Formats: sequence, structure tokens, C-alpha cells
Amino acid sequence: MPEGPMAVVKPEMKPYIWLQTTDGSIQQVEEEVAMFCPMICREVLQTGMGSSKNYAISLPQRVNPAILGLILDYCRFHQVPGRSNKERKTFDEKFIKLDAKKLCELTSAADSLQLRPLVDLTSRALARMIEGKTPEEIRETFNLPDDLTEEEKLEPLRNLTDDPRIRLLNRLYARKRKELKERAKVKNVEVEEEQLVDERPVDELLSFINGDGESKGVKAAKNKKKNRRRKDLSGNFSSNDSNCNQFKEPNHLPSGYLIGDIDNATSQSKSAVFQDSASVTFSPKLEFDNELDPAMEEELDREVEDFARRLNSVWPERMQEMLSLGQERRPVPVSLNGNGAVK
Amino acid sequence: MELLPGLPDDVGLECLVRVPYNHFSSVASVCKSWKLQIQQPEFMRRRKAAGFTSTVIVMAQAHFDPTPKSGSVKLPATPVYRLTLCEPENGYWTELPPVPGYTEGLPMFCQLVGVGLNLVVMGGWNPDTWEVSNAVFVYSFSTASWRRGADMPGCRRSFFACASDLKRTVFVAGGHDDEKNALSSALAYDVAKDKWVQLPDMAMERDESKGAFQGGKFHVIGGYHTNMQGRFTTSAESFDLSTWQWDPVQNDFLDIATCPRTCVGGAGDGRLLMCRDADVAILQNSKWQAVTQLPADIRNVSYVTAWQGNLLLIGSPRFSEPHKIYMLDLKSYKWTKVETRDGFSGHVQSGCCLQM
Repeated sequence: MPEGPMAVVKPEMKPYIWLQTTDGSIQQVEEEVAMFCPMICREVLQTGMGSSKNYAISLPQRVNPAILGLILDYCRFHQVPGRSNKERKTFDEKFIKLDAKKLCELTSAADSLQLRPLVDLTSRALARMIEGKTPEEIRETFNLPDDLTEEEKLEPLRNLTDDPRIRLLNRLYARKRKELKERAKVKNVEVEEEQLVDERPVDELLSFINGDGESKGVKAAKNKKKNRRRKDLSGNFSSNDSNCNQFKEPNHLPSGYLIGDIDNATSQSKSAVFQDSASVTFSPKLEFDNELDPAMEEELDREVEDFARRLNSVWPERMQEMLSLGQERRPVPVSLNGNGAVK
Repeated sequence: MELLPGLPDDVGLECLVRVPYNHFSSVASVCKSWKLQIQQPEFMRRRKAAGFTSTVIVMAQAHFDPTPKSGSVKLPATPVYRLTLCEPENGYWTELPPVPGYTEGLPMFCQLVGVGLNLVVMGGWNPDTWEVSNAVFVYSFSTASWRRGADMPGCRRSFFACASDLKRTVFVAGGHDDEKNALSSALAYDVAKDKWVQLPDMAMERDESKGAFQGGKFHVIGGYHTNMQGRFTTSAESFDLSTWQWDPVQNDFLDIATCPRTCVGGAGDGRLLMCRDADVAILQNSKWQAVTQLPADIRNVSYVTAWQGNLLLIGSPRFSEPHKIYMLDLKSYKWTKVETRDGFSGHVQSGCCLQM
């Protein structure tokens, strides 16, 4: 590079902005990074603050030093103009891999600094977190009160999005795990729980549920006794129709609930207890009940095996089965249409 | 109590409005404050404004098993219809839980209408007894549950025109009674209040007419009089909500006397669309103009619907073939195919469009 005799080499001047968080600590941040936050930008331009330690910009109370660090990381990356959309997206996806508490703090801080793109990003991450959890899990994660009455707490029809096989299997695994945990507590033995992961193939799991000693199968089955009362309601959609017991027919697969469908006859009396005027919804949620009822054991045992068998059967056969089960229970006479096909 | 810990409610709401519609019922089951938020009209308004809503099509679709296996159940001669749900913008398909009391199939020829977060299923014929029903069932996406609504008052109506204002009301007009007499009466149903009210009668009896809501009016298109069985009229009548009166009959509303079932509103800009011969036509300035041809592999159209800027069409190359779905962009007039899945390619009898 040609240098004239008059060329003056200037020392590199990197401007900094001084920021102060509510705990009193002050830090200096590269100007271009800090100015990426609209709130800071405005303070600098309107009040001239931030130019030195003594005139540090006071940040809103919702911004603590740790979160400020995260926010500045975000700003530092995104304020560079040359980055591609793909790069930015990749950074963002990694950036929001935080726990719920941190995400909330980050959203709050970003909002107070008016950093709209970060608010969008974090809100989306929180929404995704909410999406992936049951109401119970949401309450735990975000420390929310359990203040709805049972009536108000409508169990959602999760089958809108999930394959019911996977959903039901997941619940069985979860119950199995919990059951083993409890037994481990009693025996004070380390249970290899970590192996009970969903990645295992269906067959393996089914044999686990069915096979591993009848005792386990029976115990799992017993726990479902209480559930079955709830499950009776699962076929019961109509709120005001007192005859809705009649209609508890097995449903078509995606909306159906395989376990609870059978043995409705025995449970009809129990379901009377649960009829209320509120809109009752499909309730696939399984619960624990350690009451032992010897009379029920065998029945429930059969249920588990039945479920396992049905999981493995092919759809048309299953439909045939459901239809024939439905035929048995329906008090309305079966009609034949003109072509002689039985409905 | 804040919606989310440490967040002002405004920001907490930003998170909730981003949750997809099929998790609304979860959100409503978390706690009182969340349930309250999701039930406010503000919630959906904000969601729509920020563009977080999805277009959801719900249909009464025939169960069509393309590869029956040996020993499988013989499908009855009358196809079994159930409720399917499609998100055309991302090719997602699922089934909805059956209407209470109709687990073995929907009422034949029932009408589906979408109102806010609710799906309203009206009337139809019992698939076993073929008895005409005036029952109304409402599925709420915010609670993911069914309830039975108030029955449609008056005589048992079949093949009536219906449409919703998408916000609160379902409008019903025409159709025929038990004796196949065409009807001129009309009704409106307030979904939230679960109440039916009588509207003034139309000037003409209209059996098999089509309802479309556009520009603040409920249009009842075509149909026929009792003594003109199957000979469709080209006239239409529009009910003006602001005056609560029917506008004078518009003769020659359609340019050819044909069944108006493909005529739809909802596309925005006050347009009405329909399929005419092998074209899609738009009603502009009282004239129907063909804007594009139907896709080559659709000759038999079974269902059409439209929403802002788009038309959705379901049909098949020939009768009883698997159905295909196409979306038409109403700006570029380009067709895009929507992926169907096995089990979701049966004939579609009726449907509705919801933005949730």
C-alpha cells in the first residue's frame, strides 16, 4: 500500500458504551453491539448517556448481568451485516436451547430493551415448549397454580396429532417406569430405568409388558382399575344425554382408545357415578391406583394382553373386531340395508 | 398471577398466541389465568393479526380403502363418512373424533360450518335408518370436545343452503322437507348462545341451493322450486345483515342453470367463485369470468372451499377413483397439489374452512 509522506496512521479507536444493571455493576460494551438494542440506542441518541463509566446507561430492572451477557451475545452476532439468513437461523436455533426459567428471563429482558427480533425468537421457543407438554408438565415447568376444578380441566383430545399407538405405548412405558421406581424404593435397589426408552421396537416392548413374569403384568393391570372408570367416560361425548352409555362403541382407530374399549359392559354401572352436566371429554390419561381388587386382576390382566395383541394386528382385522364388539353391545337393532350388508 | 413467570402479561400472551390450534385445549387446562386468556376474543384477534393462524379444512370424507385385504370387513354399499381434517398449507391430515352417537359414520349429507374455533355439524340422514335429523353438534377446538347444540327448529330440513359469518352465526335457508317440498324459510344460529332464530322467508323456495357468505350478506344461490324438481334456477337471493332483510331476487345470477354446489365465498375482495364446465370462474361486476382451467386430472369435483387469497378443490379423474386435492392461488392463478394420504382420499361430501 503506497504511503504518501503526509499519511498519518491513526490509532484504532473502538468506541464503547457503558451500561449499568440494577445490581449496580457496570460494564462496557462495544458500541455497535449495544446500539443494536433500540432502548440503548435511544438513550444514547436522546440523552447522550453511556459515553463513560460515570454516565453509564441504567438498564431496566428486568435485565440482570447474566441475561445481559446472553443478550449481548445475540446482538454481537446479529449486528454483523454480512451474515446469511441460514447462518442467522442456525445461530438462533442454538441460542434458544435454554431451560424454561432462562427463556422467560431472556424474553422479559429482550422485551424491556425493545429487542423485537429476540422477543419473537424467545416467544416462539416458549410456545414450542408449551406445545410439547401436558397441562401438568406445563404447570410444573412454569410454576403455575393448579387452580382449575376437575370439571374445568378438560382433558384434551391429544389424538388430534398423535398416533394413538405411540401415545398409548408411551403411557404404558411411563407407568412401567414409575412402578419400577416405586418398587426400587421399597427394595432399595437400583433399577435400570434408563433402558426404558421409547426407542425400543414395539415387539420388544410388548414382550416386556406381557412377558416379564406375570406378576408385573398383573400389577400394571391392577393399577388400571381406577383408570377404567375414567375411561368409561371416554366414549361418552354427549353431555346432556343420559342414555349415552349406549353409544360407547369402539371408535375408528385414530380417535379410538384401545384399552378402554373392551369390557365396557362391566364398567357401565361405575360410569353412572361420573355423569355430570359438564361436557365430558375423551380422557385417555392414565392414573395410578394401588387399590387391589382380586376380582379385577384377571380382567385387567386380560386387558393388557388384549391391548398388546391388538397393537400388533392389522387395521382391517382390527376394524372387523371393533365392529363386531360394537354389534354385541348395541341395544339398537342392527339393520340390514338393501344389499344385505350388515352394518 | 402472571401468565409466565417474570413476564409482563403482554409478553406472556405473545407466547400463548404462538401455540398451534391443536394444543389450545392443553393451554385451557393449565390454570385459570391461561384458560381465561385463550377464551378472550383478543387472543384470536392477536393471533390472526400476527399471522399465526393456520388454515384448517374439515370434511365429511368417505372411508376409502384402496387395498382391501382378504378377510377384511366388506365395506357396506353406502360409504361410511367420517370427519377428516387437513392443513393444506403443510399437507397435514388427521381424523376428528366422531360425532357423539354417530361412531359408525356421519349422518349422510350433513352440513359442516366453521365458526371461530368451532365446527358445527347440522342435520343429515341417519346412516342406518335414513331418518332425517335436525340435530346440531358442535366441536370446539379450544376444548377439543363435542357438545350437542339446540336442534334446528321447524320441519326436518335436507339439502339446505348454509354458511357462517365465520365469527358467531350460522345461516340456514331453503332445502326441502319430509315430503320433498322446497322451502323458502331461513334460520340463524348463534353458536355461543346456542340459540336459533327465525329469519324472514325468502321470496322463492329453494331446494338444493348453495349458501355463501360474502360482503356482509348471506347469499342463497340457485336451487329449485317444488314443481321444478332438479331444474335449477339461475336466480339468487341475498340476506343483508345490516337491514335484516332479503334483497330483491337477482335473476340470472348464474349464467347457466346448474347445480350451484361449487359456488363459494370467503376468498376476500367480495368475490364469489365457482367451477363451471372445466373452468374456475369468478363473479365480478355481475358477470362470471373464467380465470383458469381445472387441473387436468380432475374432472369430477366433489368439494370446493375458499379463504383469503386461495381456493381449494377436491375431486377425482372419474367417479369412485381416489380423490386429489389442489389449491389455487387467486393472485397468480397457479395450482398446487396438496398431498393426500392413504385413508384420506375418499369422496368428500361437505366441508368447511377454519382459520385457527
